[in-house]
Amino acid sequence: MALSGLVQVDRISKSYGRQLAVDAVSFSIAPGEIVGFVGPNGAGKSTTLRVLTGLITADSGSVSLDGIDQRTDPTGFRARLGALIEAPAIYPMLSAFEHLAYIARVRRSFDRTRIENTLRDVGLDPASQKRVNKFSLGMKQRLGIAMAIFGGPSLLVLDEPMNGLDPSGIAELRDFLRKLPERNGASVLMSSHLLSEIEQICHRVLFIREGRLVGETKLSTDSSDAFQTLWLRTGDDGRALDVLRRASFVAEAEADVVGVSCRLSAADVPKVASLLVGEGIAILELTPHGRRLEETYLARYAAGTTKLG
Amino acid sequence: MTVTPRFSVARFAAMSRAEFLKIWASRIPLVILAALPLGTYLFVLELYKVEGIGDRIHGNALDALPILFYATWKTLMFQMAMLTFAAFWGTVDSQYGMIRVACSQPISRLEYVLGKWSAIMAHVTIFAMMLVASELAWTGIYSGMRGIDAGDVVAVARFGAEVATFTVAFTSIGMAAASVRRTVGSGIVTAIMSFIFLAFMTMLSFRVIAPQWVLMRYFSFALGELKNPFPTSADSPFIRVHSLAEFYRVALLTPLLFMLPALIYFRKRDIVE
Repeated sequence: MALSGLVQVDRISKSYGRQLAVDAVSFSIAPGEIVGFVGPNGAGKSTTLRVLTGLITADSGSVSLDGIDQRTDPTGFRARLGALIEAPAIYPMLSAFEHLAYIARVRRSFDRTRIENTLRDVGLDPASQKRVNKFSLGMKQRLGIAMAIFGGPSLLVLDEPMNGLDPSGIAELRDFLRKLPERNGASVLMSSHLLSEIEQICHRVLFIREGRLVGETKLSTDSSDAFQTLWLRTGDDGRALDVLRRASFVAEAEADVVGVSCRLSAADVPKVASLLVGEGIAILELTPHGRRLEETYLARYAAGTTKLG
Repeated sequence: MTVTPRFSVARFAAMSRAEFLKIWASRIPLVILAALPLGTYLFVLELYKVEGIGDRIHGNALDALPILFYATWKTLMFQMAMLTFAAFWGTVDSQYGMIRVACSQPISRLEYVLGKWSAIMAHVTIFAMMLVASELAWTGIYSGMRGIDAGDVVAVARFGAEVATFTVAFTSIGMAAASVRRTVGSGIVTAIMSFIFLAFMTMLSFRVIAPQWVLMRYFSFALGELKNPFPTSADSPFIRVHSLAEFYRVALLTPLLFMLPALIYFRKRDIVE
């Protein structure tokens, strides 16, 4: 499989004893792209993210970032990486500033102003001497994100970054992550069970199940109403895809994790149904982007569907 | 494309400094530094007020220091505190998940472990020096400093260096043993078990291991730098049976024997905590 992009993950596999946790997972992430990583508990999300950050070693496969191979130059690889893996890690006896000072010194980039600005960026008070053991879960999560972004990474790996945040905290993080590619060109790979958030933040979603990547879908990044993404489940998804690709009013059509997705002008949405019906293709489900990811994908995972795309 | 070196002195130094300042920022070292003079004062009270050694030792601080030091040293309180300190900081990253943050920074695992070890041992050295300084200060207050010459100052300096070396040696072993554990509690227990194992080695036959290679046989070695307060040349903690070179050799090699396997294990292990 030929891969291109800022991040290239090529057929990584990892077993714990006899249990295969990740099985030949491959994907790439483009510069500035925000990619969601979705799957049920135990699907292999965290293992994949840990392999990506070098915390665990893959049994086979390779990972590269900015053209730097993780195995041949692990230190150079990690210099371009920021990560928040699982629950926020903290030293209970230190303040938020002292946490970032530690990271800054390890990276040989101690700069008081930069530390203070990073803490402000995530909504923490840089002057506070409050020890982290007095922090709420949301504040700890913000500190974890601050430590992850401090080095100005090319790739930010976030494992359940919304955990513990209140609604306003989630909204702030959402805005922050959306703007991150514009601010420093960073790409983001984030896992979350909050599919509505994935839907609002990510450009693309990867689906993993039982250690295997089982599909991916692009999400609309247009903030305007000019274009609309539709998800379709039909009696014959293969033919539906061919028909949609040939249609002049459809900008993009591709096989999707649940069937077919297509992107078209909002004004042309009504034409899709008549086109497919006219071709004799039964429409089982037709859903505009924005109401689909959480309802349908989780339902399909729960239903035990294995062939998703 | 240039490959980043696996080990860099600059990165190791940065890691050591970051760890040292992190430990210092926790205020735990300040508590220990404050506790040492107060803790040794309890022994001063016992020796001077209860036992009345001031009436029996008609000399200066250097005549009383060996007795005070031996009284505190043999209780193992200082040693256990140092083992606990080293095991705590050796496992705290695993306990609170910071190992995930630290090991995803642009440093190698070797730099991480060695930086951490050097920062912890720098603190242990400071604590050992504080112990010696506290005891010297108390004996100075109670027995006076008159008559101390340059030779005595050198002897005390050598004594302090040997106390610090021995302390660093056994705490390094404790920390190496603790580093294979993933919680602070289990790390502390493992470190103390390693100390018991080292003590057990003194019970082994000389045919199994020559006595000069057993670290714990140097338990009171540093006292040999000070005056023997007892009028005897028989076997006592103040009589040296091994040379200074043997002491430094075993104090260097024994920790290495424990640290190398721990280091090799850590370099390869999956960080799943």
